[in-house]
Parts: sequence; structure tokens; C-alpha cells
Amino acid sequence: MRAKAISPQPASAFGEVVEANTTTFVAQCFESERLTFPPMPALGSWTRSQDEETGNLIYGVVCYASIAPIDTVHRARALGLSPQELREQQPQIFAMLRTDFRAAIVGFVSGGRVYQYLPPRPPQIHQPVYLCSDTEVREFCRSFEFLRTLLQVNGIPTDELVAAVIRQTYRILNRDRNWLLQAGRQLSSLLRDDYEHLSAILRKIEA
Amino acid sequence: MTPPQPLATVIQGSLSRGLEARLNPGVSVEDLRVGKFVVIQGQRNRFFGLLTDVTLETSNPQILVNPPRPEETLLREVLAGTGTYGIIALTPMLMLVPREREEEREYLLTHPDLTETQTAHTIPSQELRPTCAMELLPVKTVPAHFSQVYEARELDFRTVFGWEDDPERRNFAIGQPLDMAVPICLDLDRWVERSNGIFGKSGTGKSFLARLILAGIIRKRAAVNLIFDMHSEYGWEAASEDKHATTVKGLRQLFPGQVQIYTLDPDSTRRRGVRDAQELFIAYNQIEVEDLALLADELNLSEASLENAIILRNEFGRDWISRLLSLSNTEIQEFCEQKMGNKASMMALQRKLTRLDNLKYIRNTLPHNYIGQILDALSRGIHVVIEFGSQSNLLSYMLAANVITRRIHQAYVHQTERYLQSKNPLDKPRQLCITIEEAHRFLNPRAAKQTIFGTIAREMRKYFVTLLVVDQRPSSIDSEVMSQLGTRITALLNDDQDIEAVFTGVAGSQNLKTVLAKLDSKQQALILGHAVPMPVVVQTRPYDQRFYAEIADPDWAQAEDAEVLLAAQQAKFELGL
Repeated sequence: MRAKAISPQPASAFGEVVEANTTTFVAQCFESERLTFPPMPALGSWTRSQDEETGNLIYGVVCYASIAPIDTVHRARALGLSPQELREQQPQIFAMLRTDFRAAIVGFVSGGRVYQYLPPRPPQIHQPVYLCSDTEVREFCRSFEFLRTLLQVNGIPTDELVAAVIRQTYRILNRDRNWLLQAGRQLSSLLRDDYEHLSAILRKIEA
Repeated sequence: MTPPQPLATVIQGSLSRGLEARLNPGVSVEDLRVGKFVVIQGQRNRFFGLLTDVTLETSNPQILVNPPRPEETLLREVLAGTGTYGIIALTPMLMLVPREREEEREYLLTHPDLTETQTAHTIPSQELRPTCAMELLPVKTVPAHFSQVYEARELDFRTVFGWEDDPERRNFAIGQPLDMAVPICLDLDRWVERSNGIFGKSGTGKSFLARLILAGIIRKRAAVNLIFDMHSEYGWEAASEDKHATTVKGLRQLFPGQVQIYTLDPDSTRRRGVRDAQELFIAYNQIEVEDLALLADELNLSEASLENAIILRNEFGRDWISRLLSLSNTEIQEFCEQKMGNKASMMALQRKLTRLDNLKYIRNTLPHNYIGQILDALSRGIHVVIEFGSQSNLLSYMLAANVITRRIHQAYVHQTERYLQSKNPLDKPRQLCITIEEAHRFLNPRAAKQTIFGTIAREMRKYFVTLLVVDQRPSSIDSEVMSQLGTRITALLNDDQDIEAVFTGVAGSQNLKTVLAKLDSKQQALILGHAVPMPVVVQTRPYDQRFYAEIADPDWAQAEDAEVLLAAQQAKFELGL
């Protein structure tokens, strides 16, 4: 954990927390102003929300995303139209769909310090969710404790998640080979008894 | 200076079996070679040890079943240091203990009423902390878990092996460690205190090592040497195996005023260009029955012949050999009838002793006491090299060496007894170091009981005589003698028995065996024993021009005029003239 402060970049939020629990929060993406599906964060990308009462900045990685009708009554059905035709002929459907994503909480920043364990409280509902800046990611990823948390996320193949997070971060860190090796070693010690798992993840990173 | 990178982390081990340390990620196994000198930083003490083995380990057998493919570089790099790692076996040898703690404790024991806070205030810290605050001790414990292992730095070597120009000791740099340019010093005072051995297969540089150390002893005046030079390679020039130089200088050339060469074969010595070698003869009356017993194998003498020899000696006294050789068959028969000898074996003895007549250096009687002359030289501090020339067969080598050494032994025993009686430092005999080659012939389990060399190796330390045994077959040397050797210098040995023999009487030697078996075949040696604080592998000092310049007495007779004049001027200046 580094004492160096992370200053959240004033960037516009792209979603809002609609559901939260100790380990994850679900956010709904804001609808775009043009007729498109809402922008959806990539699997494994870094997001930030906050616990307003304590001021903790809560970090999570996107581990699951879904596009579904806004209610259970209206179900989407195949229309056989191209996106352009959709916009022209059925503009309402963009408003009938919602894009949600789930972020696994991996740590938080309090008083400028990074803590790579679960925050005392998840973010409140309706808190905005931001995409992390490169600087934030760089600061947060100086240590590797979050990998253990990621490996314990339920409901998604963790190989895929971990590989995606490492791949994304590696790109953000300008392909810092040294960082990649350290992350790999940390994984290797976490997956000591599961060589198959480890080699699968590393193959996904390298590919 | 940047703090050194730790190589490994101690994970387990014991004092008796040695330590195991796990290589830190990023350190390649291939950088660590057996025999490396390492430092382990414990919580309080600093340990010095030797790397004795390297092993590859994996944390998970699955990795071995399905190893990474060559193109999976990331997987391989990640596994290196985590899933797959190297284990190094270390043998701790010495520990550097902060001395002030001991003193502090003593102080507290003698002043039990002082509490800790009081000691801190009332005792000036200078008193507690002497200038040299560290003490080197044999290892008595092991470092704590997860102590870091470092590569030894120059200062570490210096701490353990000392400085060559240490005024308090006679240190001689024998070489340097395999991966660093730091001299490793032998403490020559301790070296000459005990009998020593230089071992190694043929061609691994035993003679060079011996010559190196002898030069050191002469230079540092640690002892006076008597060298039985079987192959004529110590005294004068000897052939070199180096491609650039065909010959290397002998001791006589390095120390013209301090070394005398005696030769048993003056023709050969003169042919080799030695100008002032002295001839040496041995008379029959100097040969004793015990000397013949040593030669029983060479001369093919039976037990019965030796018994008859004793009868003859009792009858004729010291001249018995010449008398026996002059007897005719009938005289022998008469003799046997009168005394209780056996005619057949006595005639066999006579036949066999005629072989001695072929030895050039044997005379019936001698007007001059050559051995006395050698003794005299030794007592004046002149080193003596005895060359054998063409007489270098074992028979003549063993006979001469044994006869001469027996006399010297007697003289030293007398001298020591006189010294013990008078306690006059002037009577103290000079420490003598006798160098013998092919030592297993003298010191094999059968001969060691009879030859004078066996006696010297076992107990002559008390009489200021020690041996330097140069040999290629240590397993043939009596184990009783081997166990008494103080310092052993061993070049490469392959034979298991020989390796076993070298470590006779060395505690905790198991780990060193791998080190010994993996030495290079040239210029590398393992030194262990009395004269070094801990076993160490060295790259031996080259025996070349630079060594001559560092060690030799300047030979003004051979030097250039300008050089002599310059030296003279300097000398005058120093005298203040």
C-alpha cells in the first residue's frame, strides 16, 4: 500500500450504482444522447465509485455486463434490421433497453492511501461511477493483493476475469514487462496447487 | 555503494547437515557455482559459508508433467522463482560475532545491580566498544529463518582470510577465489605447525602448488625447508606446461642466497645448468635395517632376510652391509653355522643388496659427513633441495630420503631436548618442513609404522619437524597419518577412495566432496584445515614473472647495470648518505 495520493480526475461519470453489496456493485450505464446503445465498459476495466459518508473512493473491476429490457414485460425480439434501419424505423427500442455492469470491489482509497482489501461499506446507491484514469490505475496496481480478491469472485470464470484485468492494466502501464512478471509471480504463488489454472491464465495474457 | 542484491533466502537446515536456501526470484541458478563463498546475514551475526550443492525444485509435480513449451516465455519467466526454483545447499563455516555484546554481558554479570538503563548512562560507550568490534568464531549455530544470503564482497574475504601484508602474521597469498580478485591468504605460521598435504591427480598442478607454498615459506621465513626433489623440479628450472614459457624458475633461482642444492647425480644436475650444486653421498654404514625394511618391496626382501640383516648388524655393527657384500659363499656358510642365521636367506640378502651397488651415490665409506653438512645448513636457515637426477627411481629416492631424514630426526630430537633443558631461546631448533613426493610409498599403512616419515607425521610436531606430503594417491596413505594432517590442499581428484581419504579426520566433510569432485583440472584447489579459517576453493596464483618479481630476492648478479645503480642509489638515500 502506498501513501501516495490518488487524485480522482474530474471526468464525467458514465453510470450510476443501482445495486451494491459488500463485494460487488451493479451500475447502470447512462443512456447516450445519440441513438446508440449506451457505452459499456470492457471486461476487466477499472472503475471507481465512492462511499459518500466516509469519502472512500471504491475501486472495482468490471466482471460482468448485461443488456436487457427495462422490464420483464417487454422482451426484445429479433427484427432483422441493421442498426441504421433500427434507428430510422424503431428508435424507441434504444430507450427500452438498459445496460448494466457488475464490478467486483478490489480495494479503496482513503485519505490518499491505497488499501487493497474490501472497504468497510460498499458505495451507496445512485453514486456515480467513473472509469479510472491511467494514473489511478498505475498507483493502485503497485501491489498485487487485489489478484487474490479477483480469484474469489463468483459467478464468472475467474481465469477470464484475471486475464482480462492483467491484459488491460499491462496496456495502461505501457507494456511494463517487469510489472507483468511480478503480477504473474503473484498469481503463481496464489495458484500454487493449480498449475493448470495458472498456465491457462498466462496463455490468455500472452496471446 | 549500492546494497548488494540478496541471492537467496535461508529456508531450512541444521548445523550438522548444512543450510538450504531458496534462490530469490530473478537470480539464475547458473550464476551460482559450487565452491562459491557466500555470506549469510543473520539477525545478529554474520555467517560465512561455502556453497556446496545446487538443486532444481518445483512446488507442484503438475509442472513436471506438463512443462511450459519453449515458446511460452511468460509462463517460464513467471514460474522461475515461484513454481520452479533453485535450492542451494550451504555449509556455514564461520561466524562473525559482534564482540561488544559479549563484553556487555560480562559487565552485567559482574555488576548485576546495574539495570539496563543505568548501564547505558554510566558506562562510557567507548569502553564497551573496542575499535575492532567483531570476532571471527567457528560456526556454533545457524542463522534464523529467512536470513538473506549474499555474495561475499571483498571486505568479507579480507575479514576471513586476512591481508598478505598483515604485520602480525605471516600470511601468504596462495590464490584468489573463483569469481573475485581478492587474495586468499594462508597463515604460514599455522601451516608449518602441523604436517600438511598437497594432493591431486597427475597433471593438476601439485608441483606448482608445492613450489608456490615453499617460495612463500622461504620468503616469509616461516620455517626452513628440506625438499626431496624426486623429479628435479623445485631447485632449478622445471618444465612448464604453459604454452608461452617453456620453463619456470626454481627456488634456487628465486632465492639465490637462501637455497642450496644437493645432488645425488652430479652429472645430470650439471647438464641441466646448475652450477653450484653440492654432491651428496651416502655410505653403507649409514643404512640401517629399518631403512631396508622400508625398501622390502622394492628390493623384494623377505621377512627372513630382514631378520638375518639384524643378526648381521648385531655381529658386525654399522658396517654390516659392506661386510656382507664382501663375504664369499663359504664365509657365509661358516657365519651361519656359528651364529643362528639362515644361509639361504642370507645369500639372498647379499644378492639383493648388490643392487644398491648400482646406485651412484652409495659409497663404502665416506671421509666427509654430508648429512651433517645438510643439518648445519638447515640450522643456519639455509633451505636445502636434494635432487635425484637420473637416480629418481623409487628405490634410490626412498633409500636416500629415509636415511637422511632419520639422521635429521635424531638431530632434531636431541636439539629439542637440549632446548627443553636449557629453555634458552637460542637453542630452540628452527621449525623444519620436509617435503616428500610420492608420499604414499613412505606412508602406506604398512610402511608408515616403520618409516621415519610415519613417525614425523604422527608426532614430530613437538620436535619442530613437520612434513609436506605431495601425493596423487591419498587413499594409499595410512589413515592415521592422514587424520593428523593439519592443512590439506587438494587439486582435482576423481577416485572416490582418494576423495574419501582427503577428508579423513575432517568434520562435516560430506558437503565438501561435491566441491572437490567439480574442480577444474588446472590451477584450482580446495584448501582446508589449520592454516585457513575455513575451507575455500582458490584459483591458484600464477607462477610467472610477476610472481617472481613479488616474491624473489633480487639477483643482482643477473640484473641490468642501470637497475643495480638505481637500487644502490635508493639504498644510499635511505641510509641517509
